Amino acid sequence: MKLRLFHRGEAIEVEVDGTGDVRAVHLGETRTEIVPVTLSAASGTVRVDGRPAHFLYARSANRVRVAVGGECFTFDLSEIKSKRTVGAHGNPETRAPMPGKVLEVSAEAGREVSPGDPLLILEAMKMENVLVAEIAGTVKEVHVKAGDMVEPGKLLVLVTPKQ
Amino acid sequence: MFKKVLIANRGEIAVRVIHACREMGISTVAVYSEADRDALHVQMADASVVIGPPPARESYLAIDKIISAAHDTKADAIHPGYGFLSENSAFARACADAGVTFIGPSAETLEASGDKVRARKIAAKGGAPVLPAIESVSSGSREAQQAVKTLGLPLLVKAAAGGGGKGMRVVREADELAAALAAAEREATAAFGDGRVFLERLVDRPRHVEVQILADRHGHRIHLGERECSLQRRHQKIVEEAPSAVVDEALRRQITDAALVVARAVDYSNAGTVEFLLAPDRTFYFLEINPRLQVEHPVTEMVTGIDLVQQQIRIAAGERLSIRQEDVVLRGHAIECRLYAEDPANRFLPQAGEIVAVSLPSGPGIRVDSALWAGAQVTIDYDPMLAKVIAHAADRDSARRRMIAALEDFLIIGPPNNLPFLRDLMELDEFRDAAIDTQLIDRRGGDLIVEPRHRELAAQIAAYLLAAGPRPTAAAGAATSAVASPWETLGAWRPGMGGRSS
Repeated sequence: MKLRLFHRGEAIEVEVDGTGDVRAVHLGETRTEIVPVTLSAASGTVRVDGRPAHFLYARSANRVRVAVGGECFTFDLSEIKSKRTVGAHGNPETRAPMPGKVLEVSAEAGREVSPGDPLLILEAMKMENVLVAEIAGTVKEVHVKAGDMVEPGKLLVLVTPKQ
Repeated sequence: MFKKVLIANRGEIAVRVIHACREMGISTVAVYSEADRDALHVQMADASVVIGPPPARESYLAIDKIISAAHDTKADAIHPGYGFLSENSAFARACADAGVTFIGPSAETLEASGDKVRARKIAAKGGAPVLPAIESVSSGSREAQQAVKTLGLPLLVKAAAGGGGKGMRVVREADELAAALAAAEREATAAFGDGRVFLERLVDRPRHVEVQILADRHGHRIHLGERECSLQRRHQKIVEEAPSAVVDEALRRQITDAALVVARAVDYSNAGTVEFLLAPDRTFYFLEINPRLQVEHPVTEMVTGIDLVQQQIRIAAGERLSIRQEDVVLRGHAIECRLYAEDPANRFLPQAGEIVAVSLPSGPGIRVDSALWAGAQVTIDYDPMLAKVIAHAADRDSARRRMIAALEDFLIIGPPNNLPFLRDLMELDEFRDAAIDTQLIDRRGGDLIVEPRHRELAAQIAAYLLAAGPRPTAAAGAATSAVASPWETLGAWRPGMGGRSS
């Protein structure tokens, strides 16, 4: 069984051989034998080449999430079209990563910015978060002002990349 | 002793206080906002009262609503936890007026502690060392420019009403002063409704060392040793430990003496903390008084074996301290890591979402203080701290190794969190060697963020589950295990968040 998993947009090719409980998993050049120890609807322990790994998982129609070794990974089963149009070195769009209140807007249309330059401060969860420019360019659009409440995903600032 | 205690807080600290009350045979009342209907503290308390909509100022900060909840449920005392109303002297007065005991120091002590300039004066008068400072200054004033000459550079601008790094600015060049003062005043006004700032000489690469105090209402005061909280990010503590690796017996005597001097000067009663800055030359200076239970109190509990919350309740009930200073013995070493719903790979932005499944670490010397459960909602209305992991062992390096194992055993399917970052901090050479200071994380910046270590393992497991795991069916989905609610529905995902969860 050949699978393609997408982690943060990056494809990982995996092949699973065999039938029954014990399977061989091929990832890149590595072949790994996975033997189940316990497996329930939300958690399990398997031996991976003999070493035990305890994990939690959650599965839906097009996504598997696995928490193992203190880390949590979301694997999409199909490529999700990125909402961001990624420029050469970063994202020209600054979107609200979470709902919050705009405290201060330092971005001004027409002004040149470099990566890391602060664009605005968003307050959420009692923390002030400085959102910065990811690319060098000129601020084209500013969609918010201080005091605005924003929803996640809202376009806040658009930068035209430097040619 | 009290019969019923209302807990004016939420999250792990409300759960912590409920544990203490249960063991003492005291019944508990939880208050909660509409965002916390299903929260763990509400599930655990004997009774609960909804006090308003999600925003804290309409619920957990609404003094009148909390007082009337105490009145309606006939609670005879209120534990404020930390944050929210815990340092609010108006709340302490409102409790007194309503005939309910506030579990904390007096309103007068809260007032003296809350004003950093006043606390500094009191500490200095009592004989505690303080840094050179200009205590009254405003942007554009003549004293401001004079200050650079008097104090020298670098300087730190601090808010008189400050806390949590708000209203704080570092000034390294004389021409930065005016802008720093204006920014600090603006920030302090926004955060505390009080724009007063003061200037203090800045000590580079300082360590944060604080002393736990217990004082009863009969003039008996003891200390429970020190904690070190030098690993901070943007003035927020992330890792704390007890004892400090660099405090020897001689320094411990000096710094705990100074803390007791400050406690006496403000007529302190109940549990409190006196914070100090420890300079690289081992001189130390008073920073502030925290007149409440601290987030990091468990490390002191682990090394002293003293339950601080139970002591708080006993002191508030008027009991005399049953512990003498000579009874306090520090055993071993304890480290605490704060787990936050934040994404280290994305500028540590706070994250919201559902805790789909969670498995807490356990084992000898491991303690987890949390309000986590499968189904818990992490909302943007409150602080993003999810849990505290505490590791206790015979010595510092054993506690550190124990912590690393615990962080790897902590499994959460939910919003991105800083578990991998905490593990990396534990493995940092500087932390292993105790060569840390409060600027370390900010100084190292992005180079502390490393790639995930278990991505291939997780992908192998995911592929195995897809090929050979149980089929997701509606029937299986209904029979959820005690561990988790496994069948996450796409509908639960907020637009714009899904793509970012790792």
